[in-house]
Amino acid sequence: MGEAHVRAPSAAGARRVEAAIRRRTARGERALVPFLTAGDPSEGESLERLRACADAGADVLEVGLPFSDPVADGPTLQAAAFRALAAGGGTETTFRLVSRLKAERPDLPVVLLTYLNPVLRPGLEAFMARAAGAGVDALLVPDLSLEESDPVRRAAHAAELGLLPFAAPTTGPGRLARLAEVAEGFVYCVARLGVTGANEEVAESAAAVVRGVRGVTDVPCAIGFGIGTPQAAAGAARLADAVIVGSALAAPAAGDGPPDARSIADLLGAMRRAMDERTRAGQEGS
Amino acid sequence: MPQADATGHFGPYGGRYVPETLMPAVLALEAAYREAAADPAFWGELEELGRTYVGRPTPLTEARRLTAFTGGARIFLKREDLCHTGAHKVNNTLGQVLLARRMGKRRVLAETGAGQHGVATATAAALFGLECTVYMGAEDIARQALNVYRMRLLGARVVAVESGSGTLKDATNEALRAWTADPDAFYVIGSVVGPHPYPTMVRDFQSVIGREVRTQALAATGRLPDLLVAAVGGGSNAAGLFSPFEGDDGVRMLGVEAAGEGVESGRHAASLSAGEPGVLHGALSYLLQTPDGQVRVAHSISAGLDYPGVGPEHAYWRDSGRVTYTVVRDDEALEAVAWLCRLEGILPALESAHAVYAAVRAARDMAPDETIVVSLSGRGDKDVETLRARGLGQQGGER
Repeated sequence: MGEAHVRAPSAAGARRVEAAIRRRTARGERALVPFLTAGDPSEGESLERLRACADAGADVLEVGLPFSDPVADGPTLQAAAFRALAAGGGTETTFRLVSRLKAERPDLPVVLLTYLNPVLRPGLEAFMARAAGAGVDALLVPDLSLEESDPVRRAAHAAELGLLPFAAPTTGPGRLARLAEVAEGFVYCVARLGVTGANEEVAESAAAVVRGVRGVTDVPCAIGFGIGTPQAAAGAARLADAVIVGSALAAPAAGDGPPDARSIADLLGAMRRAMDERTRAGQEGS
Repeated sequence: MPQADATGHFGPYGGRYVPETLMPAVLALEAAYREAAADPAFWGELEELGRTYVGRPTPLTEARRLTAFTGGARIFLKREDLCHTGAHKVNNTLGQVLLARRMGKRRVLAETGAGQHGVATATAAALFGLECTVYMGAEDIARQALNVYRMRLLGARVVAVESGSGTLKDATNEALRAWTADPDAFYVIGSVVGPHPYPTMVRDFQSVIGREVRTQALAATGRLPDLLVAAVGGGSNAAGLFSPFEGDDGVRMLGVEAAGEGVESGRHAASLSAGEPGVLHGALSYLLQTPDGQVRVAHSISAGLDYPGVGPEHAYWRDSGRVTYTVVRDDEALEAVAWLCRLEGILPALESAHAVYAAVRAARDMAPDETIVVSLSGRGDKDVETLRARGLGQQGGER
């Protein structure tokens, strides 16, 4: 890490997320962070898929609370959110699923991805208490800018939940320095411009985002957006500490049929292997 | 003029709630607008365009037969329907496109509901040779075919947004997504909504409405109006009319939201009257939402009011009591269309008809020496298919 930035104390939940990633990186491996929208396509099937992610070697699980207006998401995750909402999903279902999963896997850290309004509506304190009670460890809120984040962070920390920051290809040095002051758990490095969606390869812009973040903080970097194939996962593993996979799990490549727990486990398994080969090759090469 | 604080907050409302990818573009826009707003040459060019291209100042027309029909206060109409492109929207799009050109932008994006803002953006883009893409809900494309064709004639690319309810809310989501993919483009927002600086900037560009009314009302009646009335979807024509009078305590203001089929039916667009504070499209304001914070689908016969949110400054005015907000149903707005056609020879936009209805309702309780100014924000040509389907204008019919 470059010049020292003061790092605020992180929440207990964020430390659990960070520790899970460091368990991998300490072995020279990279962490895998699958993302699923809670309640997609139904509560029962969603639980199966969450279990499949845990079994396929997820180091941290990212669970999405479905929202009516997901502005940071592309068509695949929009459709997943609308399916979940149409099936009666929402805040209640999401917390029930997290809590059932945590009952089975108490050691698997869960990061809740939610847009801001479902957090605000019941009141920050009430929402955080419910999240913590369900077993959530940290939050990612894609439409919450750094500028507006202080009240949310205070409420999250009061419930021992982390609030993880985003870095994007457009994030300049000044903002990176401010981000470093509040970074905890991992920094979500947005690999490319635009919204979520699976790509064949990790975007070239991802390397610069990670480099910028590494220059200001030693909090782990996770790359997300566009990690659609084992090849892309391996590419991201070369750059960062963790790899986030979302859209590819909600809608596998055309012709493969609808995703189920089995196909999700297969894809994650293939990604895990590709990442491990790539990091091993990297170590031997260096 | 009232201002948001440095971070774009009107009391607790407003702010900048956008993904990190967009924040640098939002901050750059804010800096560019601050610099342009301090440059008299910028306002001079906008004023000249208003005069030579838009047709400003637009008239203040005394609605004598409507006043006689109503009985009560004198009703005047601020004729934004006579602006080039047929609505007040062009006041804002010319301002933003001038700013885009000043920032060296080559491409503009816009969302549109009824298509009026899309047409106004396509118009300004054509005038300055910029590439223009307009996002429009599939449902709105179906009910506003004329405006879709106008945008295409003007050289804009119109993208149909199928997701969600296929209306303005979804078109705005998609425009924000497109901006995230292309932050070098300039996003021309059509109302006093969105992240800071949009609510302030759009209000400033629209405040020409209220400034002209001030001069014209003084000339016509020798004093300021007693009541200002404007329809509120996102709230740009209302903010433009109201803001220059905010410090005039004797001037009352009435914002009119769309009650659709009635607020009690749940099918309406009355965010301030029946919503709760929440974040949508970059700002905290009143929002139609479920107890869990999911955004509800709005309903209004008028595509321009069919939006579950509202500008943050209106939320602030609502709470402070400076502006009173009321609601008008679909059927009442249709009645007002018929009045204005038959009594004044003016076909108003369905959006503006909501304001006309509320003005008539208010006028009945006021004295004949009092005056009301109604923002006639747009003309109704775009709505003729809707009016025909609702049975207006049939030979021999009462309407």
